[in-house]
Amino acid sequence: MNCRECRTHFEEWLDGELDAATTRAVQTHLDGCAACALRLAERRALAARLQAAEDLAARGLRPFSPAAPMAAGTAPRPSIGRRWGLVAAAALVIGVGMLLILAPRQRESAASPPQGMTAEIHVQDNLHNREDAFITGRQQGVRFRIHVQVMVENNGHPG
Amino acid sequence: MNLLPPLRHQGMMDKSEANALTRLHAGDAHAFTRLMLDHADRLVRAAFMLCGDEALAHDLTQETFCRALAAAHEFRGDSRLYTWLYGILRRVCLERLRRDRRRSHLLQTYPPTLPVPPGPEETWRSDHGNAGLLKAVNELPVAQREIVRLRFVEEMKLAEIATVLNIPKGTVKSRLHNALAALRTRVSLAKPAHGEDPGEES
Repeated sequence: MNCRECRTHFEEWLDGELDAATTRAVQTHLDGCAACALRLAERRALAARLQAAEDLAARGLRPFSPAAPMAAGTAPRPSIGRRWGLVAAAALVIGVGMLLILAPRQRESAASPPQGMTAEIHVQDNLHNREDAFITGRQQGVRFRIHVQVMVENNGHPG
Repeated sequence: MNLLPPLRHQGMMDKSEANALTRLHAGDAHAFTRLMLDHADRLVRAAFMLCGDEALAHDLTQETFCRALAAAHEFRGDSRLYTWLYGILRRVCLERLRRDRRRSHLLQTYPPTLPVPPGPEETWRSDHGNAGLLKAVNELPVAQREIVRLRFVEEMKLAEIATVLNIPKGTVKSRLHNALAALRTRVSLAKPAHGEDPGEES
């Protein structure tokens, strides 16, 4: 085995993935070739230097603190922001739907003074796998209150 | 403050991982969860290296565990548990970076720095003569930079890197070869004496 062949097999040799004969050939070549042995030492030095650089960069990293449900062996709920986002999105969809439904009626009764629609969205975190949003308002003289409930399930998939 | 230990090589799936996997498939997820959490700090560190933001790194690690638990039944022990988790972490990180336009790719600056490193200033300012090497690593194409990190810092096998990156093993090998060749043209890979890093001369 010459130097070029030895270096071609270097990575697999280090991984222990060569057959017995090639492994022996690489080992024999390394034992007798200072240049290839230097290449091997160079790799080890590179690994040590990069690891030292990372050790230094990561010195102050906070240790990981798992969410409580995970420590109990179950997946944690999505973050508060994500859950509220879901609820707010659902409330927005319903609110837009209300406008689309009620706006034509308002045009049909143009003879009567228009009445503005008001709506308030309130999101409530129930600290369970359920979020509630309430949309209240008045349209065409009718007061309405819509209750949106979103069930949050932890059935995510790996990316 | 608890500081993370330096990375150390871990072998292929060991007995505890095999036992936890058996229990998981028997319906007991607790042992598997505990085993995953053993890798938590290492994953936080990897996430920090990938995204460069400590808070985001913790968030990504949390998300990784959520996904891993949801997909635990898919883990058959074909690789080390850490390698499997790293693969999920990387995907989670890529998804987050795509949503966050401020960062364009993984390992943008390697290694990143914390806003306020702990300890005496002279300690964290010291680069142990590695500044030139790190500069050369950062000048590599991102794909090569990532493979260099996975090979030399995470100490993954070529096959593991291929699995994590979802590319052929031959591609991993050629990128690694090209990366080492490029680094050799710029710096001495053997450890230089303090302050004598060739990369600092230019």
